[in-house]
Amino acid sequence: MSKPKVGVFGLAGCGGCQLEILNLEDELIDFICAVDIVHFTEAITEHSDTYDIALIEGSVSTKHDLERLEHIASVAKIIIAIGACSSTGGLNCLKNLYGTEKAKELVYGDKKDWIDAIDTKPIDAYVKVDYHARGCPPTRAEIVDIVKSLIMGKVPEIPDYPVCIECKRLGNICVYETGGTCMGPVARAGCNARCPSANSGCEACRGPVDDPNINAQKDLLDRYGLTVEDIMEGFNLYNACKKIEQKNK
Amino acid sequence: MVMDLKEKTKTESIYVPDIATITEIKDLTPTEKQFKIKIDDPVKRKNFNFLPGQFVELTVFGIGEAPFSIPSSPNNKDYFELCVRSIGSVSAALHRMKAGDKVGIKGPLGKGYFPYEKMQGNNVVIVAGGLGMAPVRSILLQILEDRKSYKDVTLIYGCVDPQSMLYKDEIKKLQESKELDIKLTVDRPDNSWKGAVGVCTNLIPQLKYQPQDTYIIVCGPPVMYKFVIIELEEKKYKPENIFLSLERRMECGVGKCNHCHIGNKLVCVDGPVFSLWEIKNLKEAI
Amino acid sequence: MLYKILDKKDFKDFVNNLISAYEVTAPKKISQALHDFFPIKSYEEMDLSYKRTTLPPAKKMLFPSNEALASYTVGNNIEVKSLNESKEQLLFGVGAWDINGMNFLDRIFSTDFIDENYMEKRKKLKVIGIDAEPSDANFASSVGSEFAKEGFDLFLSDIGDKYFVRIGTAAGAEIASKFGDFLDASDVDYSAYDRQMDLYKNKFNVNVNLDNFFENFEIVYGKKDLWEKLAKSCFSCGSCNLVCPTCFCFNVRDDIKIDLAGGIKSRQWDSCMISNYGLVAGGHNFRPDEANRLKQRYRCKLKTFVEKFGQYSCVGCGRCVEACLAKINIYEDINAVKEEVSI
Repeated sequence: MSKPKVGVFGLAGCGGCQLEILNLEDELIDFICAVDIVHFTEAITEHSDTYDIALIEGSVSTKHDLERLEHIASVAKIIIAIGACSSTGGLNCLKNLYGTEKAKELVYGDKKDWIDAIDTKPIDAYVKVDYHARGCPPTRAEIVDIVKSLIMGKVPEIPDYPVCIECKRLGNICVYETGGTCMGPVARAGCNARCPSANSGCEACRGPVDDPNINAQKDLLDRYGLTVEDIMEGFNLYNACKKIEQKNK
Repeated sequence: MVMDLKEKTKTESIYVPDIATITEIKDLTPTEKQFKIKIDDPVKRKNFNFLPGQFVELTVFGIGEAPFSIPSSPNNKDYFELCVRSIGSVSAALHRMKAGDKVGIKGPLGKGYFPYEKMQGNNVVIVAGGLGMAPVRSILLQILEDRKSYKDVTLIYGCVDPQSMLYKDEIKKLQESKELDIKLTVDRPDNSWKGAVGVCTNLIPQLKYQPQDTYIIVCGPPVMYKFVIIELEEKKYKPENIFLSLERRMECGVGKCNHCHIGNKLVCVDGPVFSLWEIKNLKEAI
Repeated sequence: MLYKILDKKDFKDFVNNLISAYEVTAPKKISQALHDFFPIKSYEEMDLSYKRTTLPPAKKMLFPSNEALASYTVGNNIEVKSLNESKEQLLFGVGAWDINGMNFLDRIFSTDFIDENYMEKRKKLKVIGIDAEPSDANFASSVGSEFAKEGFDLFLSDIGDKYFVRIGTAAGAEIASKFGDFLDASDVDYSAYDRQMDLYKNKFNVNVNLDNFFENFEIVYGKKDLWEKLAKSCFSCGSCNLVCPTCFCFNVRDDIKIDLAGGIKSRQWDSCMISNYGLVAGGHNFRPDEANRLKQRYRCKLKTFVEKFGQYSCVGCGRCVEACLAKINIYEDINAVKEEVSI
């Protein structure tokens, strides 16, 4: 693929994922030279309706989000979900735990009917997503790597192993050693163990690995004195939209 | 004489490939292409002497590297061929390349231990399944170039359907030449298909050769081996005369990354060709 | 081998002299229970009373977790250059099991094809060992690696108010003569050393009996239930592999630079316990389940290299036991294999 046209879009989210692209610093110039950015909600005023690759941030949380997503999907040849909200539904999905109607009432009171909110879902609940640059925020290097790979015609190498691998490569002290808890053993790597490196437990913002050993994680957290509620909270923070279940164990 | 990479590493890193040029690309089937490859440096090209069954690590720069067995005759000194199915990043990138494009080559690698010298004066049966035709074509060509040194030669070749059969024209010519007995079979025949239907395992019971003067070479997808071996053992062929080319994930090709280990063997340096006797007690080999 | 002694009052000067001449990597305290090896600038930074370190020091220095192997340009004029960073370094205060682990890696990287990226670094590394404190999970004495026969330049054993020093190489003898006040060992020192060695062997809390493991392993190899039970809680997280002084599996990857003009071929530590380790192009996975992968890891540690090199590739450091959040324990599993056979 020679110099593809790229659109960067934001649905329901904080805008931080788009900001990560702008934060590319040293690589930003090379990045915008390698692709032709025709739409970038957060960065440029011009906008175009012709693009090959769509980088989409945010979850689908309103009817309007869904309309926009469907339109983007009808134009783009390749869709890359960037960030947790877009990939797993992210924090936005916590709303679903209350029930959308209840959540609307809690936040907007008697004006709740002004809001067209629907149950929050990741974008792959509606359209086919080719690649995910997961995480909250996603890693800049991974966004660049996916786009580079597409230009070169290579399947991007997105890790499907737990965060522990990255922690150990870095020589980190295990969070459990310091009295904390961590979702690392079941969470998908690719962030270079960002949180555990700062001695803060992983919250699985990149979602679980493909075949997580959930029972073992429950046993582990139980051993560290967490209750079932605590454990579910650990799973839910970024992953409330998709029930993570133990497979064939 | 096989190039000794040990010598090479005295000055060069084992992770640095030699630059080579794709001189010719041919479509073999809708999914497989044949690449003719010539190493750029004339000295390195001259030293690139391989044995049937050996392989190369091919780098598409910017994409990655992957192992490919060499299906051409070892007697071609100026170039070698590869038969590539577009299946991963490297092979897909290779399929997009044109004649004149550059790739990286590390090799020849592996032991390439099809014992063609011992096979002389004996019957040879080659059993190939699907893409497994590529690794055994080299030994087949070597046998044909010196056909009189061998007794009867049989090729059993099984494919999914007639379209996916590799080297169709060559096989047709060979069938006419009567230099060897060719038994073809497909899982899904079309209207024009005249050969057998089913997996190549089914054709083994028809073999008339006696165990004492028969060598067997097998190459195909992992699932094929188990059933072929059962049939071969049924006919009492000797395990030390049965040779298999095995596949495993390889990252380095030079016996360092350990990915291709099976028990205490590494497919890349101890294989990829093993005798059945060698791996009989190697659990999980087949 | 030459034997010397170093008075403890001269020890600090010796270390500081080394620091002034070499980049010295030594154990530093990093948390309540943990140490790790880092370059030090002064004697005070070092803490030799360590029991557990996160990563094996020699492995992280000689075979970094992420290492560039070659750079290349793309296009019609491809140029490939080997990348190999190495420097003179000195590793101080490493235990016998970790030296034995390094000796194993030396063998791996110099057998058949020579891995210059490892060997260059190895040639430039000086090693000074000590009789380190075994951690609670250390079972080095059960696999015969509580004592280092080779692989060090100097090896220091604490015999009270002095160190008994074994000089392993000519470079070690030079270090001793140049940087410290080393004296000839007397009869008293030799017997003090013998006594110390006897005491040292008793410091290992864990004793594993590996007699008949070979035969037993063969017997239970096909027992799916046993392996599934042992691997039931495995996260496939690879921690056990990455902290192991002898695990050397790696991936090779190509990364093109964002300007698309060139890139880097590099290698990263990999793990045979993660799910895609045996995955080949086309989608076939030769080792798709945890039970199979765990069994294979034990085979690799306790059998494969006995067949190939005549030694276990497990040096008994116990790091995998300490790192495993699922509490999978190699020596308990060795016993489980034995029990399974005796049933």
